[in-house]
Amino acid sequence: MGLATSHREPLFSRVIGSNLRLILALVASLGLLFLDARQGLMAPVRAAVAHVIAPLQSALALPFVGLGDAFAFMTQHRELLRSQEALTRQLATSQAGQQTLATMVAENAQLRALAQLPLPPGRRALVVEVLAIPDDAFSRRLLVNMGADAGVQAGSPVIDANGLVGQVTRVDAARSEVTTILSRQLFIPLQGARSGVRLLGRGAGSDAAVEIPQMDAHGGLEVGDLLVTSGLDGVYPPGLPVARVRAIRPPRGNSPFASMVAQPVSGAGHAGPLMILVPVAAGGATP
Amino acid sequence: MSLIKPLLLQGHALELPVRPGWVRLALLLAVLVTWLPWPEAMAWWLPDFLLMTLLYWTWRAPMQAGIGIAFLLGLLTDVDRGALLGGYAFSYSLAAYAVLRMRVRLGGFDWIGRAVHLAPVLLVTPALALLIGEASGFHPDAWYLASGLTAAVLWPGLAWVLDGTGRVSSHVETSRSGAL
Repeated sequence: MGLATSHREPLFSRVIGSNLRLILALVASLGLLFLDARQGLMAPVRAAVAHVIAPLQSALALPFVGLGDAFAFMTQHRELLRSQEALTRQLATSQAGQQTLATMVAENAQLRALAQLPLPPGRRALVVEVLAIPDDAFSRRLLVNMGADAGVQAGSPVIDANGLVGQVTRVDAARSEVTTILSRQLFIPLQGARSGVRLLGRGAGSDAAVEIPQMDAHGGLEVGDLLVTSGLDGVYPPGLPVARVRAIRPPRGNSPFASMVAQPVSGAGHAGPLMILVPVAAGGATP
Repeated sequence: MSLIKPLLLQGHALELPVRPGWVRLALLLAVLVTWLPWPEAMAWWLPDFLLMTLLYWTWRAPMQAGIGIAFLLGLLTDVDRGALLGGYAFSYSLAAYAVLRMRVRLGGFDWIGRAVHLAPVLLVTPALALLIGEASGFHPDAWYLASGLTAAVLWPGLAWVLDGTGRVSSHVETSRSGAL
């Protein structure tokens, strides 16, 4: 090193010369490269160094992140708060409006459909609303908002715009209980709308099925056939749509009967407006 | 850098030796500046502040910053950049050696002349690191060569800043020597 710029530089050079230093450094780095690339031996060393410098680096980055955040916070906080508040209010209002609108549209459609239904002779219709669906997995009942005061009688069939929902099974003064066709306790005399074959159906106890436990294995019914009330029991007026055949099970074992599962056409499990078909008071001496 | 230029190159102006602590502090600062959370988008032209500072001190204070320091700082850079261990150590050592070889010569030039002398070193060092990366199976983006160009352009500025900190200006020195 030619020029004496440092007071520490000795008069007689006893340090390693720069050429040798370079060679040492190059050899060392090439050795490291070899160890790292070919043998992967340097991974722990690298990990250790990174372990030391990583916290330093993140500490170094911290003020900048914080600074940027603080800056954005200062400039935009008030504005954001105001706009967020306004948007929240707006959202709540419009959501409420939207909900009301959707409910009313659905209800309106159902009421329209109910109003257009032809009534069976000797019956008049009471439009009721579902008050509650008791939480009983097996009975499948509904509570509706009209009772004996409005003329509801036990045994009256209950329909909605699409078909039979069930039967009034208990009547209080101001409300009554409807057992739906989904209930296992309710038997319905049915008739194939296409073939005219007569069957006895009952609820399957599930949300979406009516079953016909026993039927003629050659009854002439097919999947997709509509089942309607036959009117044989005098409870249900004939011809109310009840369910559509979903699956026919052939006889099993020694049983000579086939069975069948059908899908209710009414919204028996839902809670739209319903119609109770009560006998016209003048028309019949009710039992 | 006096106002009247001598006809012949005059070699170093007399200056006080640089304090070793100051060299280490400046190198540490350079490392920290390199570690700042620079945006990803400017990574390809961001100059290697550490290399620039290292080369400056290799020129100014070869006893404090030489090939050994360059090697160690290169290792640090290797870890920091996730490169193969030894790539930057290799190129930094070579750069420091190049500066040591042209040290005496550099003293005769002004800042522009020194920057012109150092530009090849500043350009070749990242290229060398890229080549090593390329040879060892990484495939670095060639755009990163632009960082060498930026470093060469910014080096006089950095040198001016560092020069102002460690150096006793020739004016003060002459007045002091006059007093002595």
